[in-house]
Amino acid sequence: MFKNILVSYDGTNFSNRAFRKALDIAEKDESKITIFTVIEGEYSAITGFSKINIQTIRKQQSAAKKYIYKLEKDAKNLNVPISVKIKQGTSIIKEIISMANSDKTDLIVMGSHGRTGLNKLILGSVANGVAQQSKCSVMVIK
Amino acid sequence: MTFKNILVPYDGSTYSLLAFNKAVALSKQHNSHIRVLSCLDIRNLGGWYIDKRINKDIMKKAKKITEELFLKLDNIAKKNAVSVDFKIIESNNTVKAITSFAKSKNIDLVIMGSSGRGKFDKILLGSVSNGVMQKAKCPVLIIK
Repeated sequence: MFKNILVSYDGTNFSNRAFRKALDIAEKDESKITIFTVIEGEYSAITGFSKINIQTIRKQQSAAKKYIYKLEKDAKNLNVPISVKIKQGTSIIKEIISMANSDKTDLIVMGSHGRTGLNKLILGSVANGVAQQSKCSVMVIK
Repeated sequence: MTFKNILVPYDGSTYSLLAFNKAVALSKQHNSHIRVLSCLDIRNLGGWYIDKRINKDIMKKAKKITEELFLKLDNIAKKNAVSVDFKIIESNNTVKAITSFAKSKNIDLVIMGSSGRGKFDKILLGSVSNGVMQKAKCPVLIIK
């Protein structure tokens, strides 16, 4: 039913739970999981998110890989094929949606809240944006 | 962690039928129970000059129509050997009715179409799907 599952991951508790649910579905459905992380780069008040500083981006990439390494292990224990993609871009929502379109994903699984924002009552901005704009089905985990 | 109870809000549109089919496929794999919920808007024509019995008559007819719609879903479920039950709620606020139903019945997953009967836009999310996604306490799967 869902052959390609995209899990957008940012290291928070919500996204960990989203990954667990994705594993649950993938195990029964024999589907492929892609873990996707977007790195924003450094923020400065004058230039916004700059692409210039390569060193910080590299640091962030290695930190992200450390988190994802654990997830890969869990997936391998359950014999679920998994692939990891890390991308750099300014708009997280746009990156996730273009990734889902180009990769022919059937389902995006994501946590309801991410790293930013303070309100836990309503939906996070990224989850809301992806649910509104994506062309494939979206599952929001709370 | 698996999905024991799946709620499918149904309104007769093609998107909600898609959502129901996905729910059947999921519950086949996870052995879960499907609850189909239809929410009827309470129609009050208002005006002191209108007979109150007309309002009641409208609701009765609406219930009959939804029960006929449910028969179709029941056939699909029986073909796939999935356990289903149906429920009709009358309320003024569809989003509130769905979320409170999900809360009280220990629903693990809500599956719904991206837009319902409204024809305005198919690009963005429908208002009910958006509201349920924002307010529900359980995971929500939106089918497009």
